[in-house]
Order: sequence, then structure tokens, then C-alpha cells
Amino acid sequence: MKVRYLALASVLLAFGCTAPDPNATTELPPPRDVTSFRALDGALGPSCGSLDCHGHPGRNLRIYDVTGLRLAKTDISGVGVTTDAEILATYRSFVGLEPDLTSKVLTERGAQPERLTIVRKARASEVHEGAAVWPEGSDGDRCLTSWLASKTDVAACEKARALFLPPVKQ
Amino acid sequence: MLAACLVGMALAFAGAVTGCVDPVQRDAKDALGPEDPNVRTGPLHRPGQPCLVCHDNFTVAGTLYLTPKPDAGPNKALAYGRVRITDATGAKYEKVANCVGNFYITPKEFNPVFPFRVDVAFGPDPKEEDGTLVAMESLVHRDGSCASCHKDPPGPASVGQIFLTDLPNPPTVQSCEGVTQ
Repeated sequence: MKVRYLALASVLLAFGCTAPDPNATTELPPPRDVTSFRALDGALGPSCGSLDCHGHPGRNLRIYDVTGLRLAKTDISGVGVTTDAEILATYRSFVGLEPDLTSKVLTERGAQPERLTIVRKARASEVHEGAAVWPEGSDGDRCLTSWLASKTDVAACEKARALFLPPVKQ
Repeated sequence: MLAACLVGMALAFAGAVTGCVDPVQRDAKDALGPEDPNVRTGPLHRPGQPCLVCHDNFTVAGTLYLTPKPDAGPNKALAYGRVRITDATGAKYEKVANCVGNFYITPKEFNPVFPFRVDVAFGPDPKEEDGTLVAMESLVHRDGSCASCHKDPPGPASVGQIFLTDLPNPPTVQSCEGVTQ
């Protein structure tokens, strides 16, 4: 009896102490090319990335944008343009929220996008401090869900972006 | 029995006192540093600091400055500048800052629905062209403490202090001289 317990303990110890390979990477399905994310990123910045929301370094979805948090320590919020490095950092933050599930939704051409927390939060079908920033069917929602379906509605993204930019001067 | 009861009550009280301290808020308050000994605690104190860290009974509060902060020395306050808010429902509210540029709004006065837009105006006929009107470019989504984002110095997570104009000839503003603190 004792021997069986010892054997079991050894097996558990062996597996329990195995650390994952620090160099291992997991490839996500397309879109791996960050340029495909540009239109959605342009809408995410002004809509969600202000310094008091997802432009705050403490948020798990961290959005980098000229209108909010900057990536480079030398850059200043509100000055210049959103850099490619910032778009990539936002993309990584976005897919890093639920990597497996995001991968699954992308593979399934955006089917049932509400499986993703980011979609539910933006629609406020799940509790969201920022309320329904992009209600279902809105330009922002169409921008997000069309990107998940790998056929980005660039016009919707542009409209969603414009909604949160300063009013046009008369 | 009575002694045990008293010890229990004392322990419960100590637990309640220490358990109610929010370490994040405590650290945020500590980071503000001590009061200026020359300024009495009140509406004129701590200009430029994030008001709602302590004053969680305000909906919106902050400090207005006339121009961008100079490289050396303190910045000049926009005394009696006007903060104009338009909230998500279209409701509008205006509040005049005091002589150090501080302003604060209580829920009784105006409880804006986020997100809201803000501009700062000065004088009877404010215009962007003559440096008496400036609109905030982004929206305020959740934090009524202006200085949470508008802190000095400007950097990756701050746009710097709120200022009216960077034109070479800004409007003349009053000072706090003669104001009772």
C-alpha cells in the first residue's frame, strides 16, 4: 500500500515540477498580420483607450493610442500619431485576453462573437464600467465583429472612430 | 467570561479598522504628499492634484491653468476660468473656478452621465482664435478627477496640466491677492 502511494507521489512530483518551455510559442490562426488590425485599432483608441479607461496601465485590456496611453517612454499622450509598435502592442493585448477563444472565433469566421468577453463588454451584455460603448449592431460592433470574421468593415470602423473624436469645428 | 468577551470585541474592532483600509487609496493619498503649510485646507488647497482621491463626494474636480507649465517654476492659474461640461445625455453644466484655478462639482449641482465632453472658457465672448476657449479632444469616460490624466509632467500616460492657451499673448487673469483663505 505504502509503495503504491510512493509511486503515485513520484509521478505527481515529476509532472508537477515540469516547467513549460520558456521558448515555446503558440501560433494563432490568421489574422497574424497586424496590418489587418489597423482599422479596428483606429476605432478602439478613441472609443476605449482614454487614459481613464483602457489607456490606464492597470487594465488587463491595455490600449495604446495617441489619444491615450503611449508605448514609448519618450512619447507624450496627445502628441504625434499612433505608431505601428503601438498598434502591435494593442493587438497583442486584445488577443491575449482570451487567446484560445479568440483563435477559435477567428477560425470559425467570427461565428458567435459574443463568446468573447470583449464583445460582451463593449455591448454591455456583461457588466462594463464604460457601459455600452459599442451596442450590438452599432458601427463599433460591426467593426469588431467583421474583423473577427476576417472581413473588416472599414467604413464602420471609421464611423465608430469619428464618434469619439472632437466635434467638427464650425 | 466577561474578559474573554471584551478581548473578542477588541479583536473584532481592530480587525474592522484595519480591514477597512483600502491599500490602493491609502497609497494614492500618501503619494499626494503633505499640505502646503501656507495654505489652509479648503477650496484653495492642493491645486493640480487629483481631487477625487480624497473628495469622493465630488463628481468632477480639477485645476485650470492659463498657459502650459513653464520649464521652471510654478504655473499661473486660470483664475475664474469656466469649465463647461456636456454629458452623454446632452445635459450641460458650467462651473467657475476659484482664484487658484480649482473647481469642484458636487452631485447635487450636477451628476454627469459618462462619457462627457469638456471645454474651458474665459471671458464674456470666448473664442478659440483668440485663446479664450479650448475644448478637450477626447471624452472623459469614467474619472471625474481631471489630474488623474492631466498631471505634470506630460508623458506617456499624461497629457500635462489643463491650460487655456499657448498663444504668445494670453488674456490677463486675476490673482488670489486679497482673497481670504
